[in-house]
Amino acid sequence: MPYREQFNTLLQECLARIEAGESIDDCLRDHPEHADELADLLWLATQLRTLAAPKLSEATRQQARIRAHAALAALRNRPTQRPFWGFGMRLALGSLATFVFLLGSLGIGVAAAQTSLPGQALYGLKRQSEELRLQFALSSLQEAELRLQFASRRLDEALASLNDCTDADERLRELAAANDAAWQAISQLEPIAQQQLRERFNDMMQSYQQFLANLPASNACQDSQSETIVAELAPTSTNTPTPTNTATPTDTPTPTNTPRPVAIVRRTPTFTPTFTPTATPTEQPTSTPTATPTETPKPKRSNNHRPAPTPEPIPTVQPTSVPQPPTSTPLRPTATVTTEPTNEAYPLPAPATSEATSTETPEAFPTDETTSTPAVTLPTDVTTEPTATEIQPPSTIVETARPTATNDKPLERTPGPTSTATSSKPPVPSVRVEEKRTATPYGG
Amino acid sequence: MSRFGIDFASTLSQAQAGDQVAFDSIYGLLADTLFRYLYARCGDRALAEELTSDLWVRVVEHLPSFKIPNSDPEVVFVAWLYTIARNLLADTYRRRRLEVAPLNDTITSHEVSPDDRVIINDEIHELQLALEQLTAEQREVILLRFIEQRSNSEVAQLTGRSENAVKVMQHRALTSLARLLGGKRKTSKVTTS
Repeated sequence: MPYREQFNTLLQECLARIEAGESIDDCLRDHPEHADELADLLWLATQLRTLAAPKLSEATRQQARIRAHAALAALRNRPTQRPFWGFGMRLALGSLATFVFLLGSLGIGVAAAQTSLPGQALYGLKRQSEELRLQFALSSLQEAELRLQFASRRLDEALASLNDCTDADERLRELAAANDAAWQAISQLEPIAQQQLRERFNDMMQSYQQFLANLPASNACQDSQSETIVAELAPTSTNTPTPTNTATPTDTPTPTNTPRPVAIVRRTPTFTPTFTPTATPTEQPTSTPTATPTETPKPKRSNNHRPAPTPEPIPTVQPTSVPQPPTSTPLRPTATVTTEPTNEAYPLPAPATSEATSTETPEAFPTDETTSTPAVTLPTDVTTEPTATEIQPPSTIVETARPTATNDKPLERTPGPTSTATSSKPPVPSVRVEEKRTATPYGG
Repeated sequence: MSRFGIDFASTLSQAQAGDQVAFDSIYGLLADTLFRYLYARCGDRALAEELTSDLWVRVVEHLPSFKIPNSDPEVVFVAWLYTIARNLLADTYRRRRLEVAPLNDTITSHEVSPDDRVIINDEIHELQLALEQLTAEQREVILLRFIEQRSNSEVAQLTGRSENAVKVMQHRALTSLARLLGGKRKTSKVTTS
């Protein structure tokens, strides 16, 4: 124990003994080694104890009492607090503060949720807020605008999650549902408003198409999602006028204007023709122009990795008149349009660049041409079965020649290699085939 | 029954309700104590009296908020009064920018015979001068421990310090007084009983 601490303990002991009635000398005798130092301090302590403490003067004592009495009277007259009211006020203020806090938190949460993506924690809140906004839509126009906005959101979400293959189907279903809902809401508007919103919709879709077109290829999952999204960017079946089946080649089909964009943007070619323009029809004289193949092989789809098409349309353009002479491309197999069938629900026109690629592939007739010169009467698989050898006499082909691959695009002004191969019931005039073969060595 | 000879908790409760008689009982018991405390801290009698008057007004204003404890209500209440006194002093110093003034009151002995008064008065005067040299905290401990004759634990409770800190401080205060007074002890005729 340090000396100071030890001495302090000794001092306290002696002070206690003196307070108990012992003398200073008694304590000093017991601690001779500290007697000199202890003697001074113990003497001072006893001196201080004998001092008379100063007292408050009587005048000040009375004055202070009077002032205290006045304060006491004021205390008595102070209105007592109402405990219940105080508690009620505190409760009300507390509840109000809690409500404001929760409201603020909810607002912050909803605001933060607007940028969330499917699978994230706040995405549910985002969708709930959207439903709430739809519930409070004041007019059908406002509802349509909201649905348009939400469809854009679904599209953003799908594009943002292209690399995420999990739940991709669910996202794409949401996208399709949002598009349909938006389009349906728009279709219920007045014509002017309908036109305006459709234009906005088209502009939005085109911007997304450009975005997708510029995306670099990555993986199969992303490509697959991109394909589906591209399909969603096309008009829905409910709003796309379907071509009439009564059109004939003589008529000039006037395809109705589809309000939704029909151009499809492909990031990568989706088909590769499996045939080559080396068909042998060139060696076959077209002496029997009326002959049509009785066993016309059905065109085979060389590319079918796109979504399965809906029931194939009946050929809308059936040549009934005299076929036209061969076109200016005699060396091309004119009848080998083997592009993949388009989705009937979203009939899409081929982009203008598709014609350029047709130089490498069997050319499909533009619709404008096919209206007068029905194309595609031969099976697509030209390489395996030259059609010229199977041409039947004219008398028979009227009933038998049913090209399975027809192109119903002409009515949609969507000619090109994307023509769909479908079975056609009306007979194909043999004359047309004959003339084509005479002119085109490949028997197109 | 408390050291004051009354049911302090009951009296205090009545005073809180505005009972003037109960308040006067407490005031009569503690008025001088608080005055001495203020006097020891500020060293100015006139200021200490003025502050004492202000102190009791403040005590009355805050009296309803004091929660009477189940044990040692008088000690807790006195400690509460000392806290108010310290705050009042702090406010006063802040407002007036006062320095601690020296003690200028005459401290007289309780047990001085007329024959020894001349000598003792000199010694008391020297002791008074020595007390003026102490710090306010040391004076406070000396006042409470030896003049007010409170125990170390009471001083600790009243001043908000630990008991060990009070012991150390009174040791330092006594050592300082002894150094200031020199060998006065040897000539003093004031002895312990």
